[in-house]
Amino acid sequence: MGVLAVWILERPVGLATLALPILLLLWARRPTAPLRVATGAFELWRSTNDGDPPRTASGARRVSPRTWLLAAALVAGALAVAGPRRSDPPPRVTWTLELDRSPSMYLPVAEGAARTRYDLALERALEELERLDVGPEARLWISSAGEQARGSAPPGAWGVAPIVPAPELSAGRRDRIFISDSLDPDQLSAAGGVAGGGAPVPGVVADSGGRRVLWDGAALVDGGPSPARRVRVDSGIAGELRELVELWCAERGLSVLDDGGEVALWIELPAPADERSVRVLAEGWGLRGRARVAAADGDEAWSALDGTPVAWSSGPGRLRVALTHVEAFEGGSAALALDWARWLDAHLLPASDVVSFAERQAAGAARTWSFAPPAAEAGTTQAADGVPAPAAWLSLVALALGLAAFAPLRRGRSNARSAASRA
Amino acid sequence: MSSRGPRLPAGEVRFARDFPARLAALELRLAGALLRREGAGAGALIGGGEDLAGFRPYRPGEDLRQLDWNLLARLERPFVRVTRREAGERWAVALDRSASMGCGPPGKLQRAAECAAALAVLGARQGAEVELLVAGDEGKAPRRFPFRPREGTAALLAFLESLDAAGSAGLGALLEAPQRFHQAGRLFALGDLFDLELGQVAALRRGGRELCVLQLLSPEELDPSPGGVEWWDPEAGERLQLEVDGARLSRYHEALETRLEAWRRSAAAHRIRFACRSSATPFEELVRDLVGA
Repeated sequence: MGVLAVWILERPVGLATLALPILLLLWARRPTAPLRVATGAFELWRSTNDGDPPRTASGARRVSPRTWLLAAALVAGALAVAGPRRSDPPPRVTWTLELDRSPSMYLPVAEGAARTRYDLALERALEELERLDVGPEARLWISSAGEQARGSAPPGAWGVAPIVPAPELSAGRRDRIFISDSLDPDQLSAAGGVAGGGAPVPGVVADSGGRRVLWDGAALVDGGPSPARRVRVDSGIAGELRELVELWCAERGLSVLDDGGEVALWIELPAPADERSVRVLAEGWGLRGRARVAAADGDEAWSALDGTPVAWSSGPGRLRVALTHVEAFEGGSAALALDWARWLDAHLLPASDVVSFAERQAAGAARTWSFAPPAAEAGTTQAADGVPAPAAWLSLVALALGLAAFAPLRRGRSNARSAASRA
Repeated sequence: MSSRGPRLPAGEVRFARDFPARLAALELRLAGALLRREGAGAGALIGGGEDLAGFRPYRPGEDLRQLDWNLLARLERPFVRVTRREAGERWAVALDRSASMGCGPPGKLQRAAECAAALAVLGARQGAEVELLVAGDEGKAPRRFPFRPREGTAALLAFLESLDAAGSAGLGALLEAPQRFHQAGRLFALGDLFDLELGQVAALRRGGRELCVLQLLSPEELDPSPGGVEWWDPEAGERLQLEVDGARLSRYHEALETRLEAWRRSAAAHRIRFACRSSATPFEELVRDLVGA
């Protein structure tokens, strides 16, 4: 199907000339009465049937090779007349669908509802894509959290709020379809978009200084003390660093655990491995000690002079520290504390139920802005230039077959002439 | 013409415009040869004469009784007397005009008629009385044509052109009455021989009669073409549809060869001059075969 689909005929009516070779073959095989020959040797012919059931002369003529060649030439000629050519492949178009994964998208569409604004917006977008007959291969999903995926729908995991809140969409590019709970038409410009809408969702809008701020739908009110948040620090991490983390936790109102439970930050020690002496030099501080040799599986924060990673992030709310002993600090300890505190702050997960006041506001009514088909990607619609059209090849084949069909005929005639002249 | 089937492809006799000229040329070419042959011919011929025709040089081994002693004495070279044995001799030319002789082309009857005309002219030149015999129409007596040289060949050719291939009475019917030829010193039988038995011909050899048999077959009978063919027997009107392939052709050739071999053996045993030729063969060549020139 795929192979046939790329061929089209410029003059389909030309296929009617295929009747010519068919008629030729029918004519060549037309049934005929056997040749009647008078003979005085009739009894001899009768004797050739002895012990052998009589076979009647067949009615159909035998088609000569020359006739077959001529029929093939006519078929090739008929196809050439029809003008076959490869159809231009359909332009490759990619619909880039940018999906909002900011916290507001994971609020329920209404207070107490099971479905989220994400579900609603995505559902409308998929309907629109189906209406436009956009195939799965043409759908490129990009989330505001930075992920990409192709397929009929975004990965199911995107339906769950990211641990690290993603930024809101900035619907400015013309060649994208934006999917969110609320979109600014002025920002959309010529781009398409789906706004799923949603009712306001009251709830915690801030958590600071051990108190929570609650929006009750009309005003901001005190939400009571913040729930205890915990930081897990694996045993085995250098005691000096553990003390630093405990100081940071005390400053932030966090408690420190050795294991288990839901935590806002987990500082891990890499799996047991060889240890080596390391020296770390950072901006304004340094240290010497021992560290487990392990490959960094995330963004590296610091490494030793010999390249051994000593601290890196391995996922949202998860840090790895390979230092097991600190023999000596170098430089200013304040600079070290400041660097580490910033690093820990950057990876501390927010309370999951805290959504900003602005995001808890109503998203308005659902709305869809028309999806304009994106431009075809360059280089996907051009056929090869300089290659002779199939019709030209077919014409040549037809000519060659035609010559081959008549060549034996001329040779046969010349043979007959020479035989006659010899006689 | 047979009324039991379609028109025969070569059922009539029509002499070409140049035939009389070819006939005259053949007569000239063969006259000398026949003259030389006569001297060494068979002896006891029915109605044979001993007219002196001339002399020719003696060849070693020849009968010394034919030597002319007077010439030997005068010229001191040996010559033998050449006698015209046919002076007073009768030749009979039996011609098959059955429907099967209309097969061809070239027509077997046409070629047989040409041979008959040539034999008549040659016989007359040798001083023989030549009579042509052909089977009559159904139930009628054979037609006879005594050739008279003084009347020219026009009447001879007209008689032959009046013949057409028809009926089933062929040489077999003509030769079944040997008394028809009891005065003929030479008998020429021309036909396709499909209705003739070997014994019939051998019986005609009795009495020292010289017998020459020419079997004429059409090219299609000698070398049939393969393919789908409806064979038609113009004498019996029967038809037979066959796919002629290699195996069938082989069987046909075997059967034909068996028949021809039987004829050759019988002819050799009875000292009958026999030849089987295609009707495509020019009549001059056929006549040379018949007279042994």
